Amino acid sequence: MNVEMETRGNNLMVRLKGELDHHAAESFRSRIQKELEKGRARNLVLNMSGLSFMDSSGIGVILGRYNFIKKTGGKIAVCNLKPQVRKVFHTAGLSSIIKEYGSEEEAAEKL
Amino acid sequence: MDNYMKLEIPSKSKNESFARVVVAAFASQLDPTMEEISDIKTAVSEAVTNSIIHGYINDTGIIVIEARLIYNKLEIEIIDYGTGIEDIEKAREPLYTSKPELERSGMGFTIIEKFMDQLDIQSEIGKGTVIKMVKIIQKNSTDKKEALS
Repeated sequence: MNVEMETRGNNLMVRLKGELDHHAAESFRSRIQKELEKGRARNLVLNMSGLSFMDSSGIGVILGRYNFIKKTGGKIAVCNLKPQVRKVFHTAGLSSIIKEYGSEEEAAEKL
Repeated sequence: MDNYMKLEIPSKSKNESFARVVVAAFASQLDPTMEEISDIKTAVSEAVTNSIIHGYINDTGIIVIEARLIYNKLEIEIIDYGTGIEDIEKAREPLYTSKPELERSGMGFTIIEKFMDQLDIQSEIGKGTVIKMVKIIQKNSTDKKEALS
């Protein structure tokens, strides 16, 4: 899976491309965590428009980041979930704690 | 039996994607919807990941994936010869994970139950685990009720 990251103000924008499964999860986790620990951005926006698949391994990574960010008062938002990804997101209960927006811009604005 | 496939792979995480695609390709013979294919891929991914992370932990072992097409029913079995599940009921609980240190969400079986029509788990400590999942590929609900009875 491909990951593009950009810090914009208080937000770390992360663009995912490909599939987020157990195989991709570990390196994804360490890349995001490393960037978050730099402390430049407080919030995390996950742009999933390029994500064609996600399973519960992805849920685990996202939840882990949520718990980390919560400690410093930051927020996570996601945008542009494809149907399969959204279904997994909902089934895992993440949609009740992480909001989905229609675009990166909207998510960055609302955060 | 209408059709059958069997695949043997080592428990390497790079094979997770491959396993999803193989079963989806096999299931496509039933002309499923895009959502049904996604559901099947997701369920296979969860089961195979469980075998890799929990069945074989830090070891490598064999994972066998078998699938059958019977009329409009897809039956999948994911089999490993790993450590086995101590408490199956507990494992099926949403959010429960025996490996919180790996940042596992504990939602694997919950997702399979939601995305498939039936889930059956057989396991024996020290011997291995068989995850059996069924998906009815159907155009209308009466077919589904008949096929499940």
